[in-house]
Amino acid sequence: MLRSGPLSVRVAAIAVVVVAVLVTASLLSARRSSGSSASPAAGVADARALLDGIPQKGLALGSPKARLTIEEFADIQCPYCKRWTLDHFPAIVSSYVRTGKVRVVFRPLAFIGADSKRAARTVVAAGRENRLWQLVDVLYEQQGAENSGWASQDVLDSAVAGLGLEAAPVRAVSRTAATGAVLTAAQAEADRLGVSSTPTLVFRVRGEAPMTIDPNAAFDPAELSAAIDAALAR
Amino acid sequence: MRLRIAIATVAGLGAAVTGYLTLVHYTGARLVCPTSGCEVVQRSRYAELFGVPVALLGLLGFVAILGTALVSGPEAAQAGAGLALVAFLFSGYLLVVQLVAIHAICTWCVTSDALTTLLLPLTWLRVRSSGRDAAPAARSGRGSLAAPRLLP
Repeated sequence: MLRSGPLSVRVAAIAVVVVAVLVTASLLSARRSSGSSASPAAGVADARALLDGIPQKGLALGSPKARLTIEEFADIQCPYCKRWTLDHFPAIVSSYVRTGKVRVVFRPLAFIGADSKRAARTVVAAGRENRLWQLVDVLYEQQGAENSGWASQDVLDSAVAGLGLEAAPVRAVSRTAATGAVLTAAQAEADRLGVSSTPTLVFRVRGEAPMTIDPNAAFDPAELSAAIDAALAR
Repeated sequence: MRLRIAIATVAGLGAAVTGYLTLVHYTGARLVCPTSGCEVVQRSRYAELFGVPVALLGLLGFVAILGTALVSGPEAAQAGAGLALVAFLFSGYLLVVQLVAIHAICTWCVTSDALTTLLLPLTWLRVRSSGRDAAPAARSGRGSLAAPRLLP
């Protein structure tokens, strides 16, 4: 029976036990989320369904023998890039990439802010494990407000672990000079081609000069398909 | 009575704060925050306990404390104080996690922590006053025993 007066010893003891259970659960849950057995992050199932079975190497998705290469210049923090990737890119993958007609290459830009740089470096590092495109998909699903700190190391580690990769090695690779060089090269190419907004799609047909696609066309499924078909027919 | 009203008010405010965080978690709505720390903390691996949002646990805790404030009696007072102690200690742990592990501070979380800290002395004062309230009932019992019996 509870006694009136100062907090009873029994109630205080129960409170301490409950807190101990909560703290232990919190630490175990956090540890599980950062390990390779983490529960999948948002978007993982969709990314797997879209991309499984398609050859992937580094920044590229699709057959290296594809006649047309589409370079996608994008910033992981860019909301239009997110919209394009989640709403329009799946149709391109199904119709052209999976069939071996088109190969897509990701050119990571990081002009929006610190979150962009961290995310870009991490996706490039995931490319070393041939998982760049899955991670891009997952990060777009989790995209937060620009420069809000949403792409924290914790979030990136969790996203990487959700794909079945070890977070620590990917994190280490993301911090190397070689990874930084990939971002520098992408920016240099964007500057050379006059890329002024994201997402920007650049078509490269073997033996021909690169062609930058009108950004509005990228968001019109019929126009984009027509442009791809025309490029393949050249 | 005033203490119970104060406890109910503070717990209600806490429920509103944690209720908002819970809503944002499940709807994916943009979190209104004066700093970037809120997003970082709410997206960290410490924001959930095996899939259960910590904000939801906070909401349940504040609602439970609010419930104890609506019920009179020393048992309700003890329960409220016990819950407030749990909330205070766990909030302290989460604050340490923000500083040491996440390296970011969530303004909403700090607001919830402040309300939890305020609840602790309020609920303890209620326990003490419920103890004093119980004492006069015992004295009146002794008084009735001491009252002169009427002889037939």
